[in-house]
Amino acid sequence: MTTFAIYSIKGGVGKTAACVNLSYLAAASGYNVLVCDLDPQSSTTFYFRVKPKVKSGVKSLIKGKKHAYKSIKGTDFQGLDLLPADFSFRNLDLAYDQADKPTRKLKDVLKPFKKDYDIIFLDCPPNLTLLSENILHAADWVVNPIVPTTLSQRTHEQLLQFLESEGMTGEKILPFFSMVERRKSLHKEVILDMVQNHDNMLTNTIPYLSDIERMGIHREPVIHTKPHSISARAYRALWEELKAIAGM
Amino acid sequence: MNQDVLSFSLPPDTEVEQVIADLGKLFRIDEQPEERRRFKYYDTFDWRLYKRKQIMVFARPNLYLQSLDGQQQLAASCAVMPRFVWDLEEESMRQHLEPILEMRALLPLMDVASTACKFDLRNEDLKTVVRLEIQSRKLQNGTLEKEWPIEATLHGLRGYESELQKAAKKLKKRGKESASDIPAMLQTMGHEPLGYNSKPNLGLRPDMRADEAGKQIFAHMMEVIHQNMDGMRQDLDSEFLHDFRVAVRRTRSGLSQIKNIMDPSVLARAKADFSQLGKITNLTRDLDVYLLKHDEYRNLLPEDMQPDVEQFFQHLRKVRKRERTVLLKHLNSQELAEIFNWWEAFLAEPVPENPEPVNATLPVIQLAGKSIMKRYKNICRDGALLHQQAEDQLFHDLRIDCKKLRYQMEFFLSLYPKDRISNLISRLKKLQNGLGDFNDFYVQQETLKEYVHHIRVRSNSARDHVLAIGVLIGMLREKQHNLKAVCIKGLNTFLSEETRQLFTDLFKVEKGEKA
Repeated sequence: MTTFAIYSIKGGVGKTAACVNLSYLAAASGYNVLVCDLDPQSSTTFYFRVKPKVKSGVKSLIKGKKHAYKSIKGTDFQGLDLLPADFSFRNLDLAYDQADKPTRKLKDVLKPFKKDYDIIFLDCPPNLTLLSENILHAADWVVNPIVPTTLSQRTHEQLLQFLESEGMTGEKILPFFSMVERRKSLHKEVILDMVQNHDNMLTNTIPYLSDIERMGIHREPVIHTKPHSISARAYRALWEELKAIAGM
Repeated sequence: MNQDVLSFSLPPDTEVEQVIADLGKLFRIDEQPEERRRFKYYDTFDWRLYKRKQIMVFARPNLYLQSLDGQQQLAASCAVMPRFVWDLEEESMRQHLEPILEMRALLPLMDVASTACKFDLRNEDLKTVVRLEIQSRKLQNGTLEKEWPIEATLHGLRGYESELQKAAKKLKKRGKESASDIPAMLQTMGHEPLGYNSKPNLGLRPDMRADEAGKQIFAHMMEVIHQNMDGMRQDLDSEFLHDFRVAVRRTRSGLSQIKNIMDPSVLARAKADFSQLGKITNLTRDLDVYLLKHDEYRNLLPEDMQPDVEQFFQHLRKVRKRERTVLLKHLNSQELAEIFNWWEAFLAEPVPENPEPVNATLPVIQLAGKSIMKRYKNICRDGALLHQQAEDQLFHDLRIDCKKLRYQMEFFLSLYPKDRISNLISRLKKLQNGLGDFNDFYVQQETLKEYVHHIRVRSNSARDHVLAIGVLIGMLREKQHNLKAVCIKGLNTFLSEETRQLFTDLFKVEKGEKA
């Protein structure tokens, strides 16, 4: 079982769009996929038309097992299931703080899913908290969307420093450029700069496209709505690159 | 990931629109494109897959091994339906099926043309919560056609179990819960699954007259012969001819070994006729057997010699083509029809009040017991002469003795307690298999020697071919020789005190004893 966390400290970077479309592609490739929406904003849950309610609330992500299992919903797409977000997840940090292994709790909770699912995608809230630490430990790969601006560069440095302080290497971080506008010279400069300074930037990027923005209206992965569009092709290329890196 | 599937059989007058309207009270209905599929079902003539509660389904471009309740067991991509297991390209399915299907052809049973109307049932968020499939099917087998009752299937989605139950409740009002019923479909299409039994296990009564029992046995053999005629005419696979020949052999054995139950002139005519029936199939059967040995013979030879044996099989195929025409002529001949007619008329006649033959009115249990014990004693007598250095001929004689006993025991199987007689038959089988293989290797050597004598050795390839056949004969000789020890071991077990006692206890008929 391979776990991908779609994670960014900043919000509004195309994290949820990436989570929804990459998980859709993974399922379409033939894998059994579970998406866990850990963000109390529940955007991924919204996109899949599922109600943001989990019967046992935070218990599902603390005790896991049958609490989590009972809450899983099948999406409209073959091979793709969702563990929905619940507003109570805003208290997940506090709950994990009480646990005996505060930074490893999520990893334990996800372990039993191995027998049902080949891939797990974690949609993460945009912050740097105890939950984030759990995610960084639990995930095999951290897919990190970055909008190519100066502030994003700073944020990326902060993330790498944080990882170092926690004794984690940056090897599992897979940063990719998201919401890229080719016409903006700032974007071009930042991309060039970051590629020079970091050797693990993914090759494929996701352009800023109104199609992707409008996902909220259609409430389904853009690849399903418009399978031959530029956005579909961009996500497909990104998924192929991720698959290759993850050795799948 | 496997979710609940509930199926309902709807009455023929059901209006699908009504069903949808009903469900529309609970869900938003989103119609999906209609799906048309064709499924073709296959099994061997002797129901080898059905016996294991399975069946083969071809839905181009895929081939499925399915259980009878519709669960998929194995799948393979397949462009053309294979007739024989060796034509199956997909390796894992082929390897799985090889020991099950062996040399039997997969024959078409029925064609199912299905039209499925699909619907996504959605909630107020327009999330799909249940999927509905309404399937109408038309079954076909040759000229036989039948509409199958409409089936409504609900596919549940994970986490939406209560929605599935709500939808099911609506459908329960309209039809009854059912599951895919392949056995019922096959029967509707005129098939009798598991209805082929080549062995003569009939319900004979111990107090039955021997001549009546005899007629019953022969009548069953005739039924087996008839069942295989079409398959033989169409050359579907090698086993139709084989089963035909076995039925003829059993009849001939019965005519010779079940003594003095029939009028001598009838007996003489039957013996002659069945001898003829055996003869007309001899060559074709030989050819079939050797053609089936293709891979075996290749594997007996060193790798560099393997291509040199191909000429033999090419020759066989050529001869077989010619012989097919000859056999077909015999099968469709007036003579054959006349043999069947007079024999079956005789078998259908009730037994005479005061028959002349000595054993005719004897209770069959007595005749059976006497006959079987005599055959067993012959084996004891001939078996005593056998040892490692004994002549090959003695092994062949013993093989014939065993065959006679085996046929007798199988004829009269129903007269004895099943487990006791089956135990003795399996002991006999162990001995017979060794002797059979021994004889088999001998016959193969003779056949190959005969074949080689007719080859003109004028080219290098002809020389290489003769060399390959020579090596083959040598390998077979060695295998034959190694079997002697196996046969003797089997014989000693069969002649043990324990086996003798079991035979005596079961079959010995005391003088004046009644069944």
